Order: sequence, then structure tokens, then C-alpha cells
Amino acid sequence: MKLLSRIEEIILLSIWRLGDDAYGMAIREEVIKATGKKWLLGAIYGPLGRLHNNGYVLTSKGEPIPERGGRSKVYYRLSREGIKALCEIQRVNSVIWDGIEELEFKEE
Amino acid sequence: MNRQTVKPPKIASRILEFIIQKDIRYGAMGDLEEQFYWMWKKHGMFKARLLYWKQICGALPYFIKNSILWSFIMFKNYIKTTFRNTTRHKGYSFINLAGLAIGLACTLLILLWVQHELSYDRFHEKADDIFMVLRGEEETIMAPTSYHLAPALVAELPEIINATRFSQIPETEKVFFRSGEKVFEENISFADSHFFEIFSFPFLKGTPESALESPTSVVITEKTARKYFGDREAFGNSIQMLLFGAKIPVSITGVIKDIPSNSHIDCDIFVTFHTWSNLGIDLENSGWDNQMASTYILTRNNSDVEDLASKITACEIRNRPDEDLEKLFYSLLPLKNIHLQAKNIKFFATTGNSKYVYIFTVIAFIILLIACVNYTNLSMALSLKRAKEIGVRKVVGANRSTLIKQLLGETIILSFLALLLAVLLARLLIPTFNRLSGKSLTIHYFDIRFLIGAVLIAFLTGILSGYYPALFLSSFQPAKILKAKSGFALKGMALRKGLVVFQFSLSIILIISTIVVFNQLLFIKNSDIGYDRDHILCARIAGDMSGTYDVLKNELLKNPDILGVCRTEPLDANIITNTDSVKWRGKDEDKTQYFRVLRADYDLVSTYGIKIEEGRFYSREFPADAEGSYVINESAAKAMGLESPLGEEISLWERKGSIIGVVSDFHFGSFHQSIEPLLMILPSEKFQNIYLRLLSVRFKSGTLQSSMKYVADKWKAIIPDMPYDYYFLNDALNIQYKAEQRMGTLFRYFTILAIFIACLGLYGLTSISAEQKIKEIGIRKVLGASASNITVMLSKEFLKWVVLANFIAWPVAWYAMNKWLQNFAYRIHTGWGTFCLAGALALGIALFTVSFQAFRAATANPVDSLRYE
Repeated sequence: MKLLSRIEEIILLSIWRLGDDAYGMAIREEVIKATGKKWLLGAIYGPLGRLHNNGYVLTSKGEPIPERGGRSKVYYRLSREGIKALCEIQRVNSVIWDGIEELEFKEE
Repeated sequence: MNRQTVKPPKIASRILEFIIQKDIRYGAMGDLEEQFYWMWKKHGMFKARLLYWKQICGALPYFIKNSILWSFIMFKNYIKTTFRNTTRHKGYSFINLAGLAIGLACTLLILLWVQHELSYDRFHEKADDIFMVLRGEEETIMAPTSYHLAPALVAELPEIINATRFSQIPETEKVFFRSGEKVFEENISFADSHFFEIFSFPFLKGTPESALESPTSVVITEKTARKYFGDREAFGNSIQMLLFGAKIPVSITGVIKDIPSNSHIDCDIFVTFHTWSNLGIDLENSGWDNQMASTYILTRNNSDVEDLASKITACEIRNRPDEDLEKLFYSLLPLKNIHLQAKNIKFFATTGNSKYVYIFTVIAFIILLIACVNYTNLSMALSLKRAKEIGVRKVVGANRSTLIKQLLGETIILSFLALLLAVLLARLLIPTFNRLSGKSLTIHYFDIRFLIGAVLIAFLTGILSGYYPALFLSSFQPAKILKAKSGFALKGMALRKGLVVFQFSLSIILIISTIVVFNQLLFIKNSDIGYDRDHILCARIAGDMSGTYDVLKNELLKNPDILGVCRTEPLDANIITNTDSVKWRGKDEDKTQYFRVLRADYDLVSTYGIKIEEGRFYSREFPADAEGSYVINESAAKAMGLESPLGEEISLWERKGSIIGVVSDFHFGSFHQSIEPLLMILPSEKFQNIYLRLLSVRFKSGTLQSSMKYVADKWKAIIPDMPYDYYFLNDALNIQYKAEQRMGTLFRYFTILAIFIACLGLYGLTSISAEQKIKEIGIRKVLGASASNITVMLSKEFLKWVVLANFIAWPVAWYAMNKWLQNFAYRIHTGWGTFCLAGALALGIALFTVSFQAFRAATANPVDSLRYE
């Protein structure tokens, strides 16, 4: 399988976490929370578009909302591929982090 | 603020909409607007907007990278398919490319010529304010004006800053110059001291203001200086001029850069008007009626030209108070227009003609158009083979605009390739083209105007020739194409057939013209012109020969190969005097009858081999001949209406004398004019030097080399001072048909071109037709038709059009060629033979082209064409 990039991984996890409420703005909030960095929407949509193109996420539309200029929210959820990819990452992560417990970064 | 007004900036959202990828556009646009809304709630409008714009800036680089990447990938693919398609059908591609390249090359050459024609005299710094003064009287407008006009204009009219007089000696009257051992003929012009102040010919040595100040000064071009002085300094040196028998020492006071080819003033040496005084002509004290020099004026900016012209007229009238000048009017011709618009001005020679510039520009574009249409024709034929590619492209998601872009792009790539070929071709053809057009054009490859022009033309050609096939191909329905092997109907066949008829008509007209011109030139060459023109050598006499002529003549005649020697006036129809003041008994006084007057010595008739009809020619045994005897030609006898002309008294310029002989008509002019009535005079001893400026020597045939050398040796031995400049009479006579010969060559090239182009068109049509009928051919073959049956079937259809083209072409060619032949007083008759020959030729070529393709279709295996049924 192809390993996902870090931001792709974070976005996928955010979508998983948000469940039924995963649309662009919410995903961005989630990513900001996780990384502590300001992310522009465009920076989210780049990887998000890629994930969509590669079939890791599926989309569905909600009700039209006036704040969005009359557009609907576009909700994202994980596809089977996406879930599989996340499992794989988890597995890889646990393998590569295995036994590294004493790692500590001291503020000076 | 209500909900509705909280909207992101319109332009920004438009941009965003454009740059965001299609598949995430909807969601992203919504999110962005929502974000905008929240920002507005929290931080106000300004911040919200700022953020929104920031989004765009963030998205742009990605978008640009992406679109470039993709268009590059597709471009690579397009190039690849272009290359594949080109190499797969090598024959087609070659013909297609060659046709386009030839068309482009022609267009390039013609446009180069047009550009050169339009660039005349524009290099002068003050070109906009320089005018040529034209003198008009009733219907005629002429270039020469009075010698006194220019100074008078500067003195009397404040609008005129400067004026100069200028007169160019015709090219046939070259003048010899000598420096040490070196003697050359040069084109000279007379100019006054203001000449170089007005015209900007750059000086290498000397100054424009003072160059022609002193009476004996001359200004020469760099090229001329090198000829006489080599690497030595020419400036300040002295040189000898041999003008009409006088030897005049002149000093070089200026060396200018060589005159560019786009200057209507073109000569090697400029001399002053004072030079005339060496010949006893005092111009300063001559009358106002002596029209002998062109006048050019430099005016103040924005002067009213009409007004100025009438002021010039008034100026001359003021200066000539005693004369009746009611019909006099002056006009001004801008310097830039002289080359193209001075066509009908008397005593002024220009090679330019604005009509030709228009005609050739149109021709250039017609050629290009025909090449484009042929290209279209051929690529339509080819497109049927490409249908599958298009079908597959459509199936995998190409939309129509992408396909059109691709197909057009392909044609544009090919047309640029053709442009490269065309430039190469033009380079190869330029020497021939220069010979034909009498110009010395070069392509400046890195001239920005040339580059832009060439690229534009190639682009235009690409669009023009690729547009229709692109539209046609991209309109295919993939399901239909991929299902069936063939079976499209092509529309617009009638138009294309019409085009082929047109092209062939043009070719046939050109073939006929070529044959007629060739025959006429042959006729001129082979017909008897009344004397032995093949064996006469002429030498110009530039100087005093009063003591030495007889010595030279006797020396020459000692050689048995030399049959005769005589002295005459230069035998040039433009120079020989034309007069209406001949009087004879019984002349109708109301009718003007012009006669040519030729001065010759005793030996003319024997040397040239002219036949004597009645009486005798001048003889030394009759001393009275020189005083007042005339020999006339048959035409003159006819014109005078005399039954027995011998012994009749006639008078010319009060010189009375009787006719002692009649010679048969002979041509000294060209076949354009009929032979004119001619009087021959034997000048008395003291005038012989002035008039008889041409020595003719007739030699035995086959002794050309040795006789030539013998004459040259004797000349150098007896009159070493005089430059020996010889030519053959035949060459001189042939020069009169230079224009016709040039036209003949031009026709030949155009014919080849036209036939080639027409064949291309026909080839394309046959290909389409064969492609469309592929199943029919297959079935016919299966049912037992032979290859030759099918070849005939396919060829017949097209030969019909060529036959039709013949019927269109014949009347046009007949009319045009008769019109052309009217230029000749002596001409051939165009018989049916010429027309039939041209028709047969065109038919043969067409047959060859058609059968080539037809045969290929006919010999193809029917299995291939019927397999998919």
C-alpha cells in the first residue's frame, strides 16, 4: 500500500473523530486543534481533494445553509479504503514506536 | 447589516471559482463563504475580506503549477500524436508539408519584395518634408524643370527651406572615367551643391555641405572609389572624365556610402552642373525655357502642398513675365511616393508601380489561401483514418473544445514546420527571384519585423487550414466511429471540386502563356531583321577620332576575317532622332508624318548587309553625297507616297537634297514597333566626330574569338587613349526583350508552381474519394472487376473536371495572350495547336496524379476493406 502523508493521516483521523459532522470547516478546526498551527482552508482542501480522488473518503451533501451563500455542506466520511489505510498506519506506527518509551524532550 | 449583504467580494469569489478544482469546488466555496461569515461576525468586514483574499493567494501557486503541469503533459501527448500521425502517413505528410511550405515560401518572397518596394527613399532623415517638383502643361506632367527654378524658389518662397537641382543621365549613356591605367564606365548624375544637404547619403569623407561647391568636384560612392583607387585614399584625388569627347579633370571632394537598393536616386558618381561648361554649354546664362533638371525641395513641416504648388507656378510666371504660361501648373510629389507613383511622368524612369504592389500582395495571399485549402483537403482525407483516435479520446473523456484545441494545435505545429522549410526554400530561391525581379533582396532573419510577420503568417495558415478539419473531426460521435470502419459522408465536395477546376484553369492559362511567350521570343530571334545581326561587333567611340578612324579601318580590313567596318550614330531606337520636319513634293501639309533620321558613313550598307532596293548607297565617288543626298527605306517611300522616289527633291531642316537610293526595311528597334520611315544622312566631314559615335565591325561567322581579339589589339595600338568598350549587336537587340524574357521565366516558374498546387488539390480529392468508396471498390473487385476497370472508374470522375477547366481556361488565355501580343508590331498567331497542347499537358499531369491514387485503391486487397462488414 501507499503510505499517506502526515497531514493526510491527520485529516483522515479528524474525519473519523468528527463522525457525521465532518465538513471542511470542522475538519480545519480539528486539524488546528491537533497541531496547534493555523491552517488555511486551502491547505486542508489540497490533501482532502487528493484523498477524495484516491478513494479514501466519500462525500455527501446536507441541507442548503444561508451562511454558505445558499450552498449545502459537503460532508466527508471514510470509505472502506480509508479505514483500511488508517488501520495500516496505526499498525506501522505501533511497530515503529515500539519500545521507544524513554524519549523525552526537555525544555531549556 | 442583514444576512444578504454579508457576502465575500464578488471578484474574489469569481477568481476562486475559476481556480479551485472542479471536484472540490462546491464544498470548498461553501466552506469559504461560511468562514467569511464567521469572520465577519467575530472580527468585522475588513478582516473577513482580508482572510478571503489570503485564501486566493494561498491557492494560486498550486493552481498555476497544476495547470501548467497538465497542459504540459497533454502537450507532450499532442506532440507525440502529431509525430506519430506524420510518420505513419509519410507520403501524405510530405506532400502536405511541401505544399504548405511552397505556398509559404512564395508568400514570404512576395511580401519581401512588397516590403522592399514600400521602403523606397524612407531612409532619408527629412524624407517627410522632401518633394519632387513636377511641371505640368496641359495633359503632360514631366520631371525636368528649369535650371533656374530651384534658386528662385528658395529666394522667393519662405515655406521652402532648401531646394536642389538634379539630373540623372540614362543608363544607356554611361560615361567613362579614367584614373591612371584604370578606365571604367559609370552612371553619372548632375547635382548642385545643395543636393547633399537635402538628401542624407552618409559621407565617409568630406562634408555634405561643401562637397559639390567647386565646379570641378565630384562625389563618388565607396564602391566606385575602391574600383579606381583600391585601398588608396580616393578623397582629394583627381580623376579624368570623358564626357561626349571632352576630357575633363575633376577632383573627388566626397566619398559616400554605397547607395542602398531602395533609393530612386541611384548612380556611381555625382558631378556638378558646371561640368557642362566644358562642352560649351553655359547653364547659368541659359533661358528659363531650358527644362533640364529635376527640382527637389525641402519644405517646412506641415506646409500645405496644394498651396505651395500653386505658389511655385506663380513664381515661374513672375520670373518669365513676357511669356504665355497659362497652361503651366506645378505639382509636388512626396519623396516617399516617387518610386511607386511616378509611373506616368515624362522623362522620368521608375521601375516601381503601385499597381504591381497591390496585385502581388493579393497574389501572395491567394497562393497562401490555395495552399491552405489544399492542406484542408488533404487533411480531410487523412482525417478519415484518424477517426478512431478521436473516438477513443472522446470515450476517455476529451470534450470537443479539447479536441479542437489539439487538432488546431497540431496544424499550427505543422505550419511552423512548414515555415521553417519555407524559409529554407526562400533562401534557395532568392537568387533566382532576384534575377527575375531585378532586385537584390536578402532575408534578414533576425529582423524583428520579419520574425513577427513570419510567425503571424504561419499562425494564420495553421488556423485557416486546420479549422475546418478540426471542427469536422471533433464532431464525430464516438459510438458511430468505433462501431463501423468507414462510411462517413463528406460535405462540401462541390466546393472542393470547384477549387480543383479553378486551380487547373489557372495552370492551363499559365501553360498557354508560357508557350506563347516562348514562341514569340523564338520568332523574334529567328526572323530576318534585314541585316546580318549575328556577326556584328560594336564599339562605342568616346572621343576624337577624326585623324585615326581611317587608319584603324584600314588596319582592320587587312584581316580577311573582317568583312566590313562602318561608323554610324548609336543604333538605338531611343536615341535616333525623330522628326516631323521633312518636306517632299505632294506632302499633305495637314498631316504630321514622323521620320527617323540616321546618320551613317559610306560603309553602313555593305557592313550590315542591308539590301538595296533601288538606286545606290552613298559612295566616295560622288562628293556631292555629303552635301545633300538622302537614302530612305521602303517605309519612308511608302509614307511619302512616291511612285518613283529616286531623284525626288526633299528637305529636312532646310537641308535640301535628292533621294539617291531606297533600301529595304530593317529593324533597329524592337519588334514592339513597326518599322518607321527612315532617312539616312551622310554627315559632312566636320560633323562626323559628333554624330558617328558607334563603330561596327562585321566578321566572318566562326571567327568570333579571333576577330574580337584582333579588333581589340588594333584599337589599343592605334587609339590607346580611348577606352575600348565593345558589345555584340545581337546582345544589344536582345536587351530590348528583357522584360519579355523576364516574363517568360516568371511564367515558367508560376506554371510549375500552379501545376504542383493543382495536383496537390487533385491528389487530396482523389484520396478522399477513394477512401469513401473503399467498400464499393472492394465489392466490385469481389464481383470480378479488374484493377484497371477500377482505376478508370476513379480517374474518369476527376478528369471530367480537368476537361471543364480547359474550357474555362482557353478563352481567358486566348484573350490575355492576344492582348499581350498586341504589344508587338510583328507577332506570331496563336493557333489551336497551342491550346490543345496545353490542354493535353494538363490532362496528362492530372491523369498521372489521379491514377496514382486510383491505382493504389484498385490494387488493394478487398479483404481489408470488407473484413469489418
